[in-house]
Amino acid sequence: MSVSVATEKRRAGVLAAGGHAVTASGLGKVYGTGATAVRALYEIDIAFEVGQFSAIMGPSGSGKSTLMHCLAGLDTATVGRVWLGDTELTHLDDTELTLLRRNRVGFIFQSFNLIPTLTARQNIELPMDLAGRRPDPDRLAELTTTLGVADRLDHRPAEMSGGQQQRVAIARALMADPDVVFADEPTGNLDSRTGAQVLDLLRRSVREFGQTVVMVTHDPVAASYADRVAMLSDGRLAGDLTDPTPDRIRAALDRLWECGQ
Amino acid sequence: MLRTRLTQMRAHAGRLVAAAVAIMIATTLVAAFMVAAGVLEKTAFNAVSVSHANADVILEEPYQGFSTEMVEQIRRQPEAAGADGRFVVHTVIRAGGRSDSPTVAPLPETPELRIELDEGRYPEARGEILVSHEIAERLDLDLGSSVELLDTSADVGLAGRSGGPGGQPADGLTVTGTFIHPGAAFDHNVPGMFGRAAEVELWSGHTTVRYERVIALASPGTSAEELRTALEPLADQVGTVVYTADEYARIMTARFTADSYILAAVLAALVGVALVVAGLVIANTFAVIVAQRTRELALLRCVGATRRQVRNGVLVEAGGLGVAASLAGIAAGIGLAQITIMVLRAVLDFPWFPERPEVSVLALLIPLVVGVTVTILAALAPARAATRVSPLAALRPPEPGGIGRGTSVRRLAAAAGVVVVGALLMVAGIGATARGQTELGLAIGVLGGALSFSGVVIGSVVLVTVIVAALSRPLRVAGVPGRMAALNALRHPRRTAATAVALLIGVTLVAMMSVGAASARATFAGELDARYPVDIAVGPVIDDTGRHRLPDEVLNVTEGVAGVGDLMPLRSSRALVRNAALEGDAALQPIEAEVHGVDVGRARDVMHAGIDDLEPGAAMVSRQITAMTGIDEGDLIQLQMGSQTIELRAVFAPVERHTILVTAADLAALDPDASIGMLWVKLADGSSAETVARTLRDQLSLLTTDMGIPVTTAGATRAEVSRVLDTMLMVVVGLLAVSVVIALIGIGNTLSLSVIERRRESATMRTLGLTRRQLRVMLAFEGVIVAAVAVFPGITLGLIYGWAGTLTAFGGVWDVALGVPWRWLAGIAGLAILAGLAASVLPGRRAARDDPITAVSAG
Repeated sequence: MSVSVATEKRRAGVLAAGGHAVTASGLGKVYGTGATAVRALYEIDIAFEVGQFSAIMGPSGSGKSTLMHCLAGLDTATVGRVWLGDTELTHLDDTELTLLRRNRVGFIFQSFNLIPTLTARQNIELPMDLAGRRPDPDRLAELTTTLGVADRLDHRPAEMSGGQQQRVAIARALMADPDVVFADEPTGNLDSRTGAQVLDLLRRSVREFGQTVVMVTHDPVAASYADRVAMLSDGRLAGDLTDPTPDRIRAALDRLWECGQ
Repeated sequence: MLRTRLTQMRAHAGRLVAAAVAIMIATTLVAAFMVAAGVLEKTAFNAVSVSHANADVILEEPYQGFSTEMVEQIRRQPEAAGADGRFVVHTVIRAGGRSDSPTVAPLPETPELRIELDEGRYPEARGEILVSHEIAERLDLDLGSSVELLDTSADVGLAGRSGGPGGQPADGLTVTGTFIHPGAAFDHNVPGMFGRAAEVELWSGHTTVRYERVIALASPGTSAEELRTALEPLADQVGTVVYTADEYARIMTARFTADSYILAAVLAALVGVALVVAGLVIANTFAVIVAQRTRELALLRCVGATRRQVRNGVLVEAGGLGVAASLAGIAAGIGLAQITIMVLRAVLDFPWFPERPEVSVLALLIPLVVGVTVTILAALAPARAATRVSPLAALRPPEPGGIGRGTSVRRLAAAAGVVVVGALLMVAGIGATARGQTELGLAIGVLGGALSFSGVVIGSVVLVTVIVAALSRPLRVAGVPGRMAALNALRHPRRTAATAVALLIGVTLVAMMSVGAASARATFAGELDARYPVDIAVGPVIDDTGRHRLPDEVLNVTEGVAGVGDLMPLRSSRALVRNAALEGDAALQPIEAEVHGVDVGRARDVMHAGIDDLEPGAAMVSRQITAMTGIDEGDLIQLQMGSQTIELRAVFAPVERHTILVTAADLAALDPDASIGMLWVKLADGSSAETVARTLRDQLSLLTTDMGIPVTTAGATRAEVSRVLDTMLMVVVGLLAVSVVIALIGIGNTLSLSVIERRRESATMRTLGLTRRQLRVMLAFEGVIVAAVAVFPGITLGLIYGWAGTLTAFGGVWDVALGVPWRWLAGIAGLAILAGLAASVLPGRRAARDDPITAVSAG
């Protein structure tokens, strides 16, 4: 998976800024106002390093999805600041955020979210099409071969299995060589074997090609593929594991559970 | 189940709005149409009845007339409380430097038979007259104003009587009252003035008066029917029948509305079109609602609802919607009619409009029944589709909208077959008309048109696929939004087709009507030229000796009037007319006619239609003259002036009743001493016949001659006929616009529904980098694509149907000219495309409002 010169330059800038792909500082999020206000995140300070596979974990309602939405520019923080590389997201308007997502962020969803009217190839090229960039055929071939969907390019999503669809979605996320890929429960709708393949592919994209991936999950096994796991509980950071194993993650979760009690 | 349904209806009220509006507009049209038809008839009836005041029966005999004795006999009948005869005398009157040429009739002696006064009182003393409001206004007359009577001549319409030199011109008439004239459109027999019977008889110049009409009042306690029965033997003697006043008014109303009958039929057809379009929109709405609720319906089936219950549920929903929307539509329709009447009454000052529409039970019931029926019929197919939802669907994850694949070959073949058969029938219809069988031609043609259009509708899915495919290439330029729009339009070809068909019908009909009107106008222009070849006629004028003589100043004055383009003097004479074939005992009494000599070479300059048929030896005569003398076209007609007699070949022409046109040379042979009796005036381009005629009348009345100079104009009639054509076109296009509006609601509806369906998909695209603007642009393209799918075939079909229709309707009678209103068609296309854009605005805003998070959180 080759990397363009422009991307190299941008990444050099990022490294100069401290080597973080995504940074949040004092990030808080409140839904609603007054008596009905719900606080989803309390002043979170967190940074995700370039070229690392990170996971955000936590039980349902812990705020992990909200955190990801804020980091990816899909949702706006109530307080605090968020940077993508050295770009601060907090003051960008909707169109600026859209262009930023289009050019610098990749997404992988739990239910794949391929566009049903488009073929696999058209789906993969969609973000570049939207940006008016010409997709590089060599990169497409390399990606789809690695992901094992090269022979499915002219099929529509309805004609593919769940695993194949998610691999096409990964290709779509990686195609534009984004600064960071956000994956939201990418194995949630897959059986464990297919899920393992998908996680392995994500890890390979980090190991072999220096991609930065931030994954939200509640599954300890999925999280164990990451280099680092950030634990979230009731909207607060509640732990940070490096080189996790499923057992260590389970133990950490159990401790969280006990504290919660 | 009913309660569940109604709860759901409330919950999904938003989705039903479009269907409800469609039903409402359609029922509004139906209700307004029914009420308006009633108002029109009531108005005509009122207007027609006005000149007969309270008469119970009417006898009419325009040729022989009724004698004074007969009127006396009718009066003496015990069943009759009173009776009066009616005849008219043509006059020329002058007041304060203006003149007019109204007819005057004797004021009935029976008070109940007198026309209703607007102001003042009825004439009592010598020289007193009652004038119509219109004349009073034209000549600036008030009660007590004095009017000069310049010339009179009895209507020479009564066979066997000479018009004579006219009666005694009497100056110093006094206006004692005014009445409101119902307008010649309703009853052209209503005179412009009434005078005392004895004086009007004097003005007629006849010693014995004959009446064209007798109106009679029934004695107290006697019904109009009884009076009719009593008078029938008398009517038999002159070979006529007795009408009750109601019957007569109805006949006159029918005669008036006969012209509007076609209009009414066209309107009814258009209301039908609106209903069909509304039906398509409704069917579409319900189909989508059912599709959206697949899970909900499956859940109902899971918990034990039978297929029948599911189907009935949808139908109950449709029925409820139909009733609610129809009631709203009926209220709107009646309100619309009421407002229209109020506006018309205020603007037109026309007292025969009823004050409020009479709303019959039928006018309420029919739109309700029609509205509900259309709604339920339209919901039948979606309801059946709902029963096919399997309970298992509730357990499966929702399937993303699949790609609709083309269509079956069978459907395509059926559509093509129907189109071909329809087209053949249309050609056959044109053929039948060309052979003179217009009714047969119209019947076959309409059937063919309906068939071929049904074929187009059946095949519309194919049409959609083909046109969208053709459009997707240029749309590629517009980037992802354009490409996605084309793909989305093809996602449910059937739904896109159903939406487009609604607009297709509207566009086809608007295009058809405008092409038809353009062709009709081109055709009528020729026809009008032939029927009203002369703009303004000045004269004829007859002097004291009974000879035609137009004072020399008249020519100078006329030439000087602004707006007069060209003029031609005609020499004139009076002649006795006989059928040359009938002699001796068989000969009918000769009738007297005015003979004018036309300079054929000059005629082209002053006439709209050349009179090519007028050649030496030919006489152009009216059908009235031929009817009275028993002459057929081509027969020899004998004209006698003094001792001179000539025989000419009769040619039918739309000339005035007692006018005969011959060549100048033939007239010289008949009457070598004939002097100029009449002028034909052609208007300068752009001047109004009405204005020029008025100026002419006023200027001529200032001449120091005591002869009245009649100025008659067909130019005004011409203008009126084309105004009527234009108005009809406006009304028709206006009504069709309603179906286009309904179709637009349908497009907006389809787009909104697909926006709802694609919420997650749109959000994904937003996450991946589609800006709000691009999302709106994508939907705008979708709207334009649907509109384009309707517009291009619609205009093409409209052209074909418009031409075929014109050929079929008029081909048998006239030389049809086919017109293409290019500007109209371009306008229609532009508007429809714009409308497609407009229809995407609301759904676009709605889609853009959604946060991209929807995609991520929907998992």
